[in-house]
Amino acid sequence: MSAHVSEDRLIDLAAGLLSGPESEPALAHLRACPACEETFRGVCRDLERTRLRAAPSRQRVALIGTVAALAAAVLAAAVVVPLWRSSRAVDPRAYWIPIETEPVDLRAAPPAADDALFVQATEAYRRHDARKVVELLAGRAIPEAQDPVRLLYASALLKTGDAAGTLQALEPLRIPSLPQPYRDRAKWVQLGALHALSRDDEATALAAELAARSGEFADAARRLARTP
Amino acid sequence: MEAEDDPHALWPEHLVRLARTLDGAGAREKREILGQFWGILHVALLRYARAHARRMGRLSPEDVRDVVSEKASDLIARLDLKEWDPGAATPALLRSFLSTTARNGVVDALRSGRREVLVGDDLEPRGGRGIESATQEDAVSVDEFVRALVGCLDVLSARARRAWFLRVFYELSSAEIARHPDVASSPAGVDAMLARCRDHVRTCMESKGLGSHDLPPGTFVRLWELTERDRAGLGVGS
Repeated sequence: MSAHVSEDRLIDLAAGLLSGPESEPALAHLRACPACEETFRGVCRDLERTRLRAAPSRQRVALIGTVAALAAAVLAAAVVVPLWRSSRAVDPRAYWIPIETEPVDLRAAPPAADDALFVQATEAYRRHDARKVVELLAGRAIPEAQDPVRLLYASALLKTGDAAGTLQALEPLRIPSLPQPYRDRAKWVQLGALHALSRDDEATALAAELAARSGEFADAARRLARTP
Repeated sequence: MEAEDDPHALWPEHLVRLARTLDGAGAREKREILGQFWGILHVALLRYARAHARRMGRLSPEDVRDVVSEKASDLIARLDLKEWDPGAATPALLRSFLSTTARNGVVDALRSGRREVLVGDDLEPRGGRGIESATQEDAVSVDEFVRALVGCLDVLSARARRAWFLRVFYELSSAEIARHPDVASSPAGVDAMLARCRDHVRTCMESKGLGSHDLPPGTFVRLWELTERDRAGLGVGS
């Protein structure tokens, strides 16, 4: 059998950089080499997953036919992107999600009035005014494009003592599917809510999970896991 | 073996070229370029991070992905802010930079005490797993199997075929498939579509005297070629 196809060549192939004649020798090898085929499958899977994260709102544009034109036009708005910063807080209820304002393209085209609302809520969160955040967002539909704001809302609910509401607000985020660092931040907020609701087994399991991973909350989760 | 740089690789030059086209691109075009850049950057960093992780320590596949995710996000942000200019580099320099970036990420992860776990499948080099290469007889039977499978898949729409492929070979969740631009549906819609696909494929393969439980080696690459044609038919660029 011919030599294995290099991983670089597999990236070329998966990314569509090879012409038909260029790709044929690689494909012929892959058809006969299960190990290379498996590596290629991994490269293709990684590429697909990455593309999905890069363009999450394309599907929404397709779905919302009535706002397709508006969606294509792209609204620029200031929304919040929490950035990675380490936290030394051990109590999840004391944790404020770090905030930095960045211009972000909103392709899902939520109504402009709501954009302003989300910006206000974000500003309130930045001022550590959890009550105002809850007041602004309670009962509002928060579109998927505003998932960072939903996370802030969940955190604010926890700070105002509504642990059940926190879990409810987190549910649409599908936490395991979130990219880092959002995933761990959402889990940290969830941990606080579970703890407040005395759902100790779930809270302990979540703390153990965060403690076992590296990241923003590893140390805090380890300390929390040791706390009786 | 595969950790060594392939001097004929096209992706480094492609990334350099994409970076150069960023200047002067309109907002929409810029997004498309960054999207393409992001995909290739991510898999290239993964390739280097896995190679370094194999040599330096035992990081879980999930931790390697997290390391790469952080590094790729940082680089894309810097590219977007013009703090990093890969367009000014040669392809060889870019590769070296990405390898070093991945290496630093892996070293940091190991130093910060990331969980050590059994090395996952996707960290193992090829050729070390005792997987036998396909024999000629295998190839014939795979060809027959794939022909039958393709015949069964052929009656499905390109969109349904794509959804089936994304689930079976890439193990994407229904939510991820629903978000995929080739599919564009709801998770429930994807579930229903996949259920119909599975039923159809099972019945169709059984009618040809074949099962559809275990897809033999070689099936993926043959179907990948077909789905790439589907993608071209759907007007989706890579």
